[in-house]
Amino acid sequence: MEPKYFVTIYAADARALRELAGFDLDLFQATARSSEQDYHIEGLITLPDVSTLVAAGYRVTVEAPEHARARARETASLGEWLADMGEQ
Amino acid sequence: MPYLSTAAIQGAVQHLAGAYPALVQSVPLPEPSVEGRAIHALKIANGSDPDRRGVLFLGGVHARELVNPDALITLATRICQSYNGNSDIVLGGKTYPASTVKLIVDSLDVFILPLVNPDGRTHVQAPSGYPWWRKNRRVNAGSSCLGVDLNRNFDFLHASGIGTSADFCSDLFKGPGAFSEPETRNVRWMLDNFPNIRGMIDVHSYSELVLHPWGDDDTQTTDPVQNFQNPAFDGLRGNPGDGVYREFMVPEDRDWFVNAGNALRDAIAGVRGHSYTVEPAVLLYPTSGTSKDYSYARHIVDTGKAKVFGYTLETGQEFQPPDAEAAQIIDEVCAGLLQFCLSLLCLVESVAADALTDVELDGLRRFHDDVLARSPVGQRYLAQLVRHAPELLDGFAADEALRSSFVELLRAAGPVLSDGEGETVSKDLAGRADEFLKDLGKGRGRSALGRTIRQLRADLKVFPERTVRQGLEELERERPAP
Repeated sequence: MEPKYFVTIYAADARALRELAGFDLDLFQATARSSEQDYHIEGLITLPDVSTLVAAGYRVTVEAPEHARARARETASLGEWLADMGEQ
Repeated sequence: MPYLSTAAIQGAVQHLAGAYPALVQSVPLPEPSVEGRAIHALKIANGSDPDRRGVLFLGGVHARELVNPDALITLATRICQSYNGNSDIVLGGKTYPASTVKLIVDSLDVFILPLVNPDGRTHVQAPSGYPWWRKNRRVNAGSSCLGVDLNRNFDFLHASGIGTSADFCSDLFKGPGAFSEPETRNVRWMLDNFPNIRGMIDVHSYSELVLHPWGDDDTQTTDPVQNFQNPAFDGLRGNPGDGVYREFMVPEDRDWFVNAGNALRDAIAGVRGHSYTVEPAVLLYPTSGTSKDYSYARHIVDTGKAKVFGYTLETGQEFQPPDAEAAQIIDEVCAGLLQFCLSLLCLVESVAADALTDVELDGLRRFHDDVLARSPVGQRYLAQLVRHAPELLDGFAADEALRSSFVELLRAAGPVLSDGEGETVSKDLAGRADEFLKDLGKGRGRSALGRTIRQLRADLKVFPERTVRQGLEELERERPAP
C-alpha cells in the first residue's frame, strides 16, 4: 500500500477548491477555509496524488507522514478506564 | 490514558447502567453492526414526565475520529458522579455546579450513543487494521473496497450526490441508498422511538467547528419555495455562493441554531480558551446525507415529527490527538454538550413545572409559541433567554426564595400571558415583575445578564394598561430590530 501523507492543498478560488472533489481523494471537508490569499483544505494522500494535484495547478504542502499522527494502536481496557475515572 | 477499545466502550456503557441504576438505562439498539456487534445507547434521566425533552449525542460515526466516543463516555460518567455525589463538574476554567447538573438530569432525557460504528473503530485499532479508516465495514458486492461513509448515508438529498461519491472505493461512498446501513438505521430508530428528542449533536473531528444546517447549500430565510423537497431545483443545489439556489430555513430556527451554537462555543472556550467557529455546515464544501441535516429536516418532511435541532461538532485539530491534548478536548466536549443541554431546557418547565398546573403550563406554552415566537421583540427575548439560561438556571437552583418568587409571578401573570390578547397588564403586575427582576439582577450589575435585566426593566414601563401583544408591538415601534 502506497504510504500517505497529511497535506494542505491550496486552490486559487472556491471553484477550484470544490473541483478537488473530482479527484476522489481523502480530503477533510471540515478543514476547508478561505483567506485573502487562497482557499485551502487538508487531506491524506499519496505522493503520486501530490504530483497529480500539482500538475493540475494546485499547490500542496506536505505536513507529516501518516504514521506520525497515528495513535490508534495503544488502547485502554475497561479496567484501566474505570480506575482512571474513579469508578472502582 | 490511551483511547478506549471498542470492547471497553461497550463495557463502560454496561458499567454505567449497573452502577447508577436509578439514573442510567442501557438502550439496546435494534440492529447489530455489519459485522454483528451489538450497539447500545445510554439514557440518563431522573423522572419520567412524558413532556420532558430529550437530547441525543452521537459519537464514533467515523472510525478514525477516536477521541469522541471517549468524550461521550466520560461525559456520561461525570454526569452520574456529579448527580450522585452532589459535586461540581470542573472542566479546566469552566465549572458546571452540581445544582446545574441536577437540573439537567431532573429535567431532560440525555441519550448518548457513544459508538455508532463499532466495526470501524475495531478495524482502526487492530494491529493489522488501517488507522485512518473512516467508513463502516460493509462488504460491497462486486467490489474489493469495503465500507459506506455513514455520515453520507442519511436520508437528506441522498440521491443528489452532493459532496458524496457513488464509488465503492471512495471515503465518501454514500451507500446504495439512504439508510442502507444498520448503523444509520439505529440512529433513525433513536429519533423515531424517542420523539421527545429536540436536539442532537453528532460529534466528529476535526477543525474546531460548531456546524448547523444547512449543509447542501447556502441558507436563506425569505423564500420557502427554495427547499430541499422541491424537485424544480434538483441539479441546482450544491454550489454555495452562486446565488442560484439557497436552502430555506424559518428565521426563528436560524436564530436558535446561532444562539445555541454560540452558547456551546462559549462554553468550550471557557475550558482553555479555544474559540470554535459557529457556522452553517456548507462552508466551502457542500454535503448531503448527513445526520445533522437529516435530523433537522425530519419535521419538514413529516410535520407529525418533532423538530430536532441537529448540529455537527468538529472537535480538536487532528483525528487522534496525543493523550494530554485528548484529555483537554474531552473537557471541551463535556462543557459544550452540557451547555447544549441547558439550551434545550425550557426555563419555566425546569424551574416551575412541579408548582404549576397543567393548565397553567399549557397557557405559558401558548404564550411562548403564539406570542413571543411570532413577535420580533419576543424573538429577541427568547434569544436572550437561551443565552442566559445556564446562569438563570444556576441562580434558581441556588435560591429557593427567588424560585418561589418566579413561580408566583408566573401564576399571577398567567391570565395576561396565555394568549397575549386578553387582559391588559395591570400596574400592580408590572410592579411585581419589576421587583422580581430587581431581585434577579442583584449582584449581576455589569454582567451580560445584568445588562439584559436592566433592559427588561426599562421595557416593562411600556406594558401597563396594554395587552402583552400591544406592549410588544409598541416596543418594536420604539426599538425596531437592527
